[in-house]
Amino acid sequence: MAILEIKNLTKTYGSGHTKVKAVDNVSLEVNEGEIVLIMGPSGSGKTTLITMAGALLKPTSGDIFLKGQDISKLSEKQLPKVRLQELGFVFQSFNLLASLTAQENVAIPLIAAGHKKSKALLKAKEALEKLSLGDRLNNLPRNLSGGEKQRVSVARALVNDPGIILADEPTANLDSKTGHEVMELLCSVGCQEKKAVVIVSHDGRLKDIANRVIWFEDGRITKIEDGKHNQMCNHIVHG
Amino acid sequence: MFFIAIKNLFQEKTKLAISVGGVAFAVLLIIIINGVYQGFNEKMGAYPKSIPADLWVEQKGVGDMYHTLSFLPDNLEWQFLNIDGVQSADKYLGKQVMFDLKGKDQTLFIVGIDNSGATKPYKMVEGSWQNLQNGQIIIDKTMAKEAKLNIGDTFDMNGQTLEVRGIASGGNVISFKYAYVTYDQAKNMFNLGDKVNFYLLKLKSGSDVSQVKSDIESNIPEVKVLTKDQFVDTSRKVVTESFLPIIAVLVAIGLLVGTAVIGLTTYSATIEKSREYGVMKAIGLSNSQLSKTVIIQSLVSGIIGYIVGAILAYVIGFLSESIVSSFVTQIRPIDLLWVFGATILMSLIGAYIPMKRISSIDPAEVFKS
Ligand SMILES: Nc1ncnc2c1ncn2[C@@H]1O[C@H](COP(=O)(O)OP(=O)(O)OP(=O)(O)O)[C@@H](O)[C@H]1O
Ligand SMILES: [Mg+2]
Repeated sequence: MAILEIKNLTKTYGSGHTKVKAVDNVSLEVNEGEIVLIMGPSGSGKTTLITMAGALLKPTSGDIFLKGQDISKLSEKQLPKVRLQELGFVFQSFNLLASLTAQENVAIPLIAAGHKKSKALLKAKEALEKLSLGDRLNNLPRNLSGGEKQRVSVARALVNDPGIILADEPTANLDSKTGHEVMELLCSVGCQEKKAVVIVSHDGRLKDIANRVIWFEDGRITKIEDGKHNQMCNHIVHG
Repeated sequence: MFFIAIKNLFQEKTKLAISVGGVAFAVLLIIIINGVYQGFNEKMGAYPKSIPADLWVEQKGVGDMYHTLSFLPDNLEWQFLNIDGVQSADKYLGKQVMFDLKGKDQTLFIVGIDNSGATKPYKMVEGSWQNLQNGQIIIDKTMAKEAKLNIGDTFDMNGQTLEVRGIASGGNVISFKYAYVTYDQAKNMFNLGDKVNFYLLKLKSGSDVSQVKSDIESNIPEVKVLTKDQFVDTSRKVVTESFLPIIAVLVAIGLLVGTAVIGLTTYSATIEKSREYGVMKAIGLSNSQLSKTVIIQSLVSGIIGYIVGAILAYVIGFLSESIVSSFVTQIRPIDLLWVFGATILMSLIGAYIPMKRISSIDPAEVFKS
């Protein structure tokens, strides 16, 4: 089933001779449990695309269907709820809240969705334990390693059980070993959690976890390749 | 959202200290200034309030006991007693007297008393007022302390030698102090001849105050009758009218300072955390949820500041009263309440611009690293 369906999406910034067509008539589908990697040179429009898919930026034209609902037509007031319940974000620079512990950071989306604080903290604890961070619950972000921070942010992205995870350069701030750990984690988000995952990255190793690799240039899709997701999945599941 | 607000607040201890300090300063200033004003106001009315009279009769067209002097013939008693409802009528002599005491200016409000006790001192702390003799005086304890006078000591007042017979309290109203001499001595001292200043009337129980009042005024044309509360109020007006504008300006300054400090610290905390607010927006928190965290931060620092300021006000009020006895502060529960209300208002106003700022943050910015 298609979780995310993008149809003829275009985004232009500015006007007159400073006009930039960052995304140019792009169509794309991402299914449940599928990992799509978007690659391309700097300035090709990858972040712009994923930001629109994340209901954070209005397209100039075209439609974005999230579980069948056209989010490009929603009002500003309706968008927070969609982001909270249907979308999970993983950022290059982790973006954890500095004054909250790992557990509290993961609890935020639950509390925002109306759960009691105590219940939210319990669920956050379970989510972190699942990602082998059970002994880091009370650490502030500054007392976590880069890899740990990114795992906390994956836990935060998953905790409200959204349909899709959007990740922009999730490994760029990590060394190659922890980068690999985060890769495996994202891979299992696809094959075990059955989430749709869209990753934007320059990191070629991510092809190993993707079902499809989409090449982007000047705001357009130029090439689609197969990734090695299934092999990686087997490797993770069967050790 | 409460715990995010609290965590943010306590993570930035310096900022918290600044906004708590700012609010505490404002609250302290407002409570002390107001306390001095109220204390003054209360003291001003305390003596006339303590006098057991239902009605005060004064010369028509005279304002209060302190500003202008009221003169009435000293033979009106029987006329009052003829009016239905009047039980007793006593003469009141009282006048402000300035003199030089051991090289310092002293201002006393001297009251003539007799054995009826109708105008007895507010409260005796040493000696007694009964059987006061000509040539004797009862002074206030603040005067006794300042001029180092004890019972039995004598001092000179404008050519008359007076012996301290007793010491009273509650008679220090800052611009002057109450003192008490015999009725005859007061009459001589004030050169009153056959005049008195006021009459104090007690009414029979169950009589209609306003009926008696209008009966007196229509029967004796040269007098004006005030109820006890009216008289106490006019005595207080002396303070109210001259100090209120100054008090108002100082309170306004306090409110402005408090609002500015809490607003600026909340604003700078918001600016510093604007990326985090962007992240929370991206995750799906609504503007109203984020506004709540800002309001809570501002309110909590405001309330802590209020508590610190109120405690400081009590401590400073207490200390300065025991060091400078003429410094009287009266902190009434109602004042604590309205200053608390003002603190809440300061916090809400202080949160307004930061809230506006947050709602303008673009969550898409979080993808730019
Ligand atoms: N807010 C904006 N206003 C104007 N132009 C913008 C804005 N955001 C992006 N652009 C332009 O749109 C184009 C696409 O930018 P985008 O950030 O989507 O590229 P990208 O593929 O993510 O690049 P990188 O690999 O460097 O992250 C670029 O030319 C960029 O300068
Ligand atoms: Mg980018």
